[in-house]
Amino acid sequence: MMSNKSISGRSLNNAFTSEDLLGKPVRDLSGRLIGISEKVFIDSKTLNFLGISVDKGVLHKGIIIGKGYIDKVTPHAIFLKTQVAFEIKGMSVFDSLGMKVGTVTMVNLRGERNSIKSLEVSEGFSGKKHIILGEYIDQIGENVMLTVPKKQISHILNEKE
Amino acid sequence: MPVNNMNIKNFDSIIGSERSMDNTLDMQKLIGSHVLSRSGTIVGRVRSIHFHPETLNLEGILVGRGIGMKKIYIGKRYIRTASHEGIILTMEPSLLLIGKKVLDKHGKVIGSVKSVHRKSQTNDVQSIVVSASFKKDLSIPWHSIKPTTHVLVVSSTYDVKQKYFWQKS
Repeated sequence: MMSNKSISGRSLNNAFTSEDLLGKPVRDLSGRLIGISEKVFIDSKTLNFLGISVDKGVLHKGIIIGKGYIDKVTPHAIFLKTQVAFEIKGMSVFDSLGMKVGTVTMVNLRGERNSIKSLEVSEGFSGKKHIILGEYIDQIGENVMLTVPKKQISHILNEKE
Repeated sequence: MPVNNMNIKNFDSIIGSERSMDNTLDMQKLIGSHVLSRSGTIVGRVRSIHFHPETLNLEGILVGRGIGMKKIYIGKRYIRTASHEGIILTMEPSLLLIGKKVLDKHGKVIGSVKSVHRKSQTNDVQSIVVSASFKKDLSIPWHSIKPTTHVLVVSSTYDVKQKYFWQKS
């Protein structure tokens, strides 16, 4: 293939192209497949790269991920530096004693950052809802583990109310 | 904090320096309770609890993982907390790695974990064997792996060279 002429003013050997970014699986820090990169966002004035949007399929809303959360772009995937907080929705929540508190129905973030402010957790058939503050989250893996027992969570909530 | 909710008026106690009954766990209630890994993965349910025949100390628990899955016996050193609600482990059981996808440093799926080689019967992994369709199995040392919750990623220093069955080794 004929090489392109360049008037970039500097070497672009280490740069990646939109082709390298688009249509690739995006994986977060936990290795979870978030979706497929769909669009690239570029600042209209500075022309700086801002981030990517990720398509999560027909049934799910897409996510926009800022460039600060991108760890590396490889030939086969895009790896993120962080675990995407929205992905916690649907996970089971267990307290510090191993008791199931419920299932995450909503994730409230601090502004538009990937930092969890609180989780809305539903107990299921009873329909009882808990709001758990982000500071009580111990670990997030396949499920969410809390630092406190369930009894203490309700105590905290009552105090806040 | 009392952990046993049994009404203490229903029995008399004959104990020395041992804990009172309301500060112990009822073994019957523990059986069937779920076992969680450190990060919240459901490992299974408690099938039986095992004690040392002489010291009478807890030695481990047998965890059932459902139909068709091999049970796992987990030693006391790997148990973080136990309550009637469930048992939480101090680690991620290495046997749960089997079946997980393995990616190379470029994010390409190279196969899935076929078996795990551990140091004796501990949870310390030495290497994993990765299998992929039409390709020879590949043994990768554990220090070259970056484990995550959902997949295993081979570190950039390890060169993954998988050959097809018809290629000479």
